[in-house]
Amino acid sequence: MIEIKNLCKNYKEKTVYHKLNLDFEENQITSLMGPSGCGKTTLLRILAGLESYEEGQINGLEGKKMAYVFQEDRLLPWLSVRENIEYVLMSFEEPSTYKNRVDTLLEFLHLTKEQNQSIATLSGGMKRRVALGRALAYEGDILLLDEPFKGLDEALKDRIIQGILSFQKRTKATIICVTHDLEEAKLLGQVKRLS
Amino acid sequence: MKLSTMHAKWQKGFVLCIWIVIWELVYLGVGKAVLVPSPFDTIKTLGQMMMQPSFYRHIVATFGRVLAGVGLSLSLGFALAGFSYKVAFIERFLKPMVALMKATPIMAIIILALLWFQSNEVPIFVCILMCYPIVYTNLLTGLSALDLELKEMSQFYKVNKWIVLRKCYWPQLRHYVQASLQLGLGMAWKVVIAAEVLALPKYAIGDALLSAKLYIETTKVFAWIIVIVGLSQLCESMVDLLFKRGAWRD
Repeated sequence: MIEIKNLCKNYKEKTVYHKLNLDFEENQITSLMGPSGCGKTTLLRILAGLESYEEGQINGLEGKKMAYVFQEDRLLPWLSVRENIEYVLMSFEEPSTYKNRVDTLLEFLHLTKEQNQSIATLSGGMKRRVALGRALAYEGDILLLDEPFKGLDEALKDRIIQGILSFQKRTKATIICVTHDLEEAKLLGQVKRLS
Repeated sequence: MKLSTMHAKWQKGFVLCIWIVIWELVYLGVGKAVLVPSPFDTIKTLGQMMMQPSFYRHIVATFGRVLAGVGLSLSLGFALAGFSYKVAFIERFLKPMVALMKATPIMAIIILALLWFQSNEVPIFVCILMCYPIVYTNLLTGLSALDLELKEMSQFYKVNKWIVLRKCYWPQLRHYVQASLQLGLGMAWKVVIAAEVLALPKYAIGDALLSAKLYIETTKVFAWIIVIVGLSQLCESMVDLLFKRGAWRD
């Protein structure tokens, strides 16, 4: 279990959290909901180790491999779709070990045809799928998703949600997904609210 | 496609012809070869110069100084821009020095260098002092413009530093490096030859230019100018080629 105890976080004068207590079930998908500006993205960034906090304790992250779909796509525009996904894998694995995995992901994300296309030529929805593909290909123990379905049409969104559910079943990853859409959250599993 | 390429080549040749005609007209207008020689005499003199071994010795020596000056400026520029990017204090510390280097007249630097160094080293030192600020400023601008979100993403996924440098930083920096090299090389030829004229090392285009001036051989001066412009253009084309086709393209 990922356990957040008495977390305090301030941005200059503004208090984001004051003694926040929250936990996320291990090997489950949890959707994190809440009004804009309540600190959902900040919480993901803290969990990812990209943001510091003033007080509190976070347990359950030790030695865990993490993947992250950032709020922004953060893709390398001069690389192709495939190269962007492989960018986070090539430091740890040989191409022969991840090639098939990337092929399967590209097919699941409906990006096989575009795999050699430059990122600069893709639509917003396609870019989002590449960012998602990069995180899924990394196969982390914990997967942090910040509005991963932004810009996707309904049909594709449903397919990808089903894909994430089966990915979770297969890998037993702990997934924390920030979303504004209750339907989306319910489809994924447990819902937690941040106020 | 081929037609348009031919067209551009013809255009270049046409423009060159127009400028040669203008030069010839100026020569005819002035009427004194000692002030403005004819283009045809200049080319003839250039041909004669090319028959002498000393012509190539001068070129090789000056070319070596240009390469040494630009190479050292690049190394210094890369290192100091890197440090300045990492540590804000270093940038603030170097700022007055860079401003001073940019504003100091080249002649003042050459005179100081003549006091401090041997004649062979003066052009290289002056070249470093004039080119380094260009390289440093360009690279620091490039580094400051690096996408921090991509940097954070790479750090988060623990991507190997060499891969980050090659796949993430280099594509963002290569235009700044290319501009530094081109501007630096363009400046280097002018600066090195100016320093050679005053420092008079054993073999140097600057020395050959000064000799031509002393013996009032204006055609030779013009011929050397053609050589210098040609060499400078050649360097620029080589940089272009390196970045367009070379492995540096990523």
